Amino acid sequence: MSLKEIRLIRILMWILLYLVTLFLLIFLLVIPAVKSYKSVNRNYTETRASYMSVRNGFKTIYDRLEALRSKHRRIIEVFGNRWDEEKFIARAKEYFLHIELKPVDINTSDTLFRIYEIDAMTKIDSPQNFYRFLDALSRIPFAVQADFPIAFKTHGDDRIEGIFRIRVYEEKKESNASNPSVSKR
Amino acid sequence: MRYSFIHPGAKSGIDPESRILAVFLVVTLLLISGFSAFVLLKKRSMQHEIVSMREQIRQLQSNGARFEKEIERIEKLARKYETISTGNTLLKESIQNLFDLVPDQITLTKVTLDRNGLVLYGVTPSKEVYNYLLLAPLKSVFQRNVTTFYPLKNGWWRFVSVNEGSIETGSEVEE
Repeated sequence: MSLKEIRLIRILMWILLYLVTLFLLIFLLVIPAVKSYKSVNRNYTETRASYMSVRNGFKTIYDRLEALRSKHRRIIEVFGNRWDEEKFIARAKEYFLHIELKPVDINTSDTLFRIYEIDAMTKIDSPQNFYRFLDALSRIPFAVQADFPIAFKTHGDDRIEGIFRIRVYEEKKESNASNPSVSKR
Repeated sequence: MRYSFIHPGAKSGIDPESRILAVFLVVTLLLISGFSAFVLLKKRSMQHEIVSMREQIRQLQSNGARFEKEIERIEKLARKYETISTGNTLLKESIQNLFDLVPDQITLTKVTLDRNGLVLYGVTPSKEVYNYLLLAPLKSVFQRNVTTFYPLKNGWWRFVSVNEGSIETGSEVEE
């Protein structure tokens, strides 16, 4: 065997070694890695699509909540305020010559509200002031509903004694616990 | 005695062709290993991102549920407030309309209103004035009217008018 032939055989051996190594690498390393990458990529695409959909849904809910909060800010405050008889009397005195409150049932409550039923005994100089008071109920910091029974009686020559029921609604604090303070993600 | 024009050098263990092929093999090995490593790292990064996105999805869903509850709460409050406002407005209009019914000739001394009706106490110059100017409109509002008259010394009449029938206010409005 000549030297030339020996070199050729050596080169062929190298090429064979190269090809075998290449095939081994492709079948043992590249193909499993790409396969697993594809599977993870599919999973990633699905999760991302699901994430985007949930995020968009969340954004819609968040925007709606913010819009509602801003639209009904006053209503939320009004129901959240603790009933303060003195504060109410101070405001009501702008319309009545005299006002006195007598609780009827302070524990009438439903699932969302604590309800205070109160009889208001008042003195006014004109029914107009009573109407003005009813109009002003939307401006006081409590959720107050005037209700029956209502009685008006003349008191002296120019005074009217008025007795009517008011119902004050205060939101129960337990239901406030769900008030989310989490920032928008 | 020298038989060659060049000095003999130390013979390399690997011939040039084999060296080139070996380098080629090593480079290929490096390239394939690099590619595989890149794919694996990319895969690992995506797996981390998947875990992170799943956690975010869980949080978003949890916060979304809380926000939904909050929306429901605000809507309930708004509806309740609307009911209260409507009730107050209707009550004011009912009382205003009631007092508008009373003619100038008749003086009321006491008025009692409840959900089922109205009781008026007052003074009228004559029964006819009461019947024509007050009873007629009261009859159009209430289903049942009973009036009792008591004569006064000055010729006028004190009356007690009991009117039965529901008075419309917002209190009954379902929120």
